[in-house]
Amino acid sequence: MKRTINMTTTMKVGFVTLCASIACSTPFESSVSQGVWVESDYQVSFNQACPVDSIFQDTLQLQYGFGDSSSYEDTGGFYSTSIDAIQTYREDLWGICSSRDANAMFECDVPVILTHYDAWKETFPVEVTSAETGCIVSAEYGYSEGLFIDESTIRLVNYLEVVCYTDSESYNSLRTCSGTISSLWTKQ
Amino acid sequence: MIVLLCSMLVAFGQNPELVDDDTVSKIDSSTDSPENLDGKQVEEGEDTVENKDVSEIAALLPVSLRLVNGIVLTGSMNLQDIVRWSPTSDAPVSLFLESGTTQSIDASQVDAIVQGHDASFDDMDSSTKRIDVEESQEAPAGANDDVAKLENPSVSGEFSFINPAASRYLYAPSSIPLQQGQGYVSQKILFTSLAFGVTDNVTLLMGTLVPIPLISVVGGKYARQINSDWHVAAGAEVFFLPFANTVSSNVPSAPLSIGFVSATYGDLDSHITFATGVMYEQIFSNGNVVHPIMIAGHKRMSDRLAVVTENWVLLNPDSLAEQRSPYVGSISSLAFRLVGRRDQTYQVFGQLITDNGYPRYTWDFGLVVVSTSIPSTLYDPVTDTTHYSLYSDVFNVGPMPWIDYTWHFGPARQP
Repeated sequence: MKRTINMTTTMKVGFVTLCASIACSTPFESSVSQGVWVESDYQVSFNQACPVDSIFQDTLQLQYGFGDSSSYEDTGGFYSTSIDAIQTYREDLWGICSSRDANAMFECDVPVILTHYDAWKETFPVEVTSAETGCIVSAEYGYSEGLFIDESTIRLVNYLEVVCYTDSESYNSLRTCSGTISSLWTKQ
Repeated sequence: MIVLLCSMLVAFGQNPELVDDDTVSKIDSSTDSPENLDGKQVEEGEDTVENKDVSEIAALLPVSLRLVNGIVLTGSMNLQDIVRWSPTSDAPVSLFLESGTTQSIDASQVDAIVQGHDASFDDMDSSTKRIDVEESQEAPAGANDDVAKLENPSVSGEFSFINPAASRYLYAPSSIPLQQGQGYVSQKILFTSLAFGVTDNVTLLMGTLVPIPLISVVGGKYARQINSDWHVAAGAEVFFLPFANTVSSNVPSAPLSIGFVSATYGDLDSHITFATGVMYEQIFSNGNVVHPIMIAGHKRMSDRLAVVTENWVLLNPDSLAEQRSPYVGSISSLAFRLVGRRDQTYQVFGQLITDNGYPRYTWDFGLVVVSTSIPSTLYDPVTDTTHYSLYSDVFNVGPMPWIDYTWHFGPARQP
């Protein structure tokens, strides 16, 4: 009987398997971030003194943009307790976020939800206290983690702590909101 | 390393007649020119022996050939033609006549072949051949090894001895079993393993890392031939960490177990194996079930050289339920094998060469690439959910060199 297994076939088995293995993986391309992303599907968990469930609703229709995608690996740190400064980045998230391992997961040096603070602050307990007492609102601690699920979906988790100080020197807090907000972003 | 492998391919990837093989070269010495065939110079012409390929001339043997109609012809035949001939063969045999011409004869018209011009057919049945190299020639080294190939239908007949290393690729076994009493000791860098054919169908394996047995393995394989082209097998291997409990009570002592079934198509020299099964691992997870798919091939190119490839893909079916790629990782390899041989007689300990001075060990030189794909994930503490990305990071390790020394013990394969 004539065998049809030759050296070429034997080597092809190896190369085809190797190529198929590599093809099974989809690397992340930062260009996926381009476009307008709309936030929805909020899930929140805050300290008891800070009820926020009614604030974060799909009706907010918050929109984000990442800006220049070539800087998505820029891990230069951003730190500011000024919410006004943070809000300048809602269309330029790669300015405060980066992908440390150049993959589909990114981290932001401040809670991304704060870039739209003015849009939802009206009934935010800390802001209410500030309006009542004149205390100073400050973003004390926080960051965000995001993941590109696919080319049109992002999962994002915000970790934040916002406090209202009686004055800028004593750091006595009249109210603190500390918690986590997760959401779904969809490309528009 | 690639250049080195290519050089080896060029150096060893020759036709078996042209390589420096003991058997052939010593036959050549008595038939290295046409005049040696029968002591006379053949005439020049298109079909003269002189114009034949050097490799064909080098392996010519004087024979008597009986046709089915009873006529007996004398002349010379290429050794490879003799080996390949059977009444059902498609290829015609070439008989070099004393006149210097070549006569092509349909294989089905040949009744029997006997070495020598004065040989008798009296004690021969139809469809047989009797080639006694030792009596007619100076006995070549290794000529008595693996003589059974002439009668073994699973052997391609292209080579002068039976491949002793057909039962496995670089690590994975083929479905071709060791025969009872056969075995080998294999040294892969720092990993030593021993395989032994308990019966013609059951092979047991054990191995460990040396000099400190940090990782050990035991396993077994049941394999059988179901027809001339196919072998099937089933088996299992369990890897142990003998010192696991001394490191931490959390380290599993048997972190990896594999159960497999496999099918091999081909003969001892050219074969492809497909295998799959279940792999339970606790190395990268808390008890993950992964299904491996293994495709391996072996192609013998000459007496001493074979090309071997062994390729694994690991799949996690649980990922499909989450609409993610099931791909976990892969291992790809390509190696050249310098084939040794076994003695015809039963020998277990001590000797690195056969009775006739041939190496009883096989070397594998190759390259291995290990790839794994890890999807990016995000943990959401609010919903206690881990989200997986469709994008994944690919990690490649290699190409890494693969070197394996295998010493064969036990007798040569019997038909």
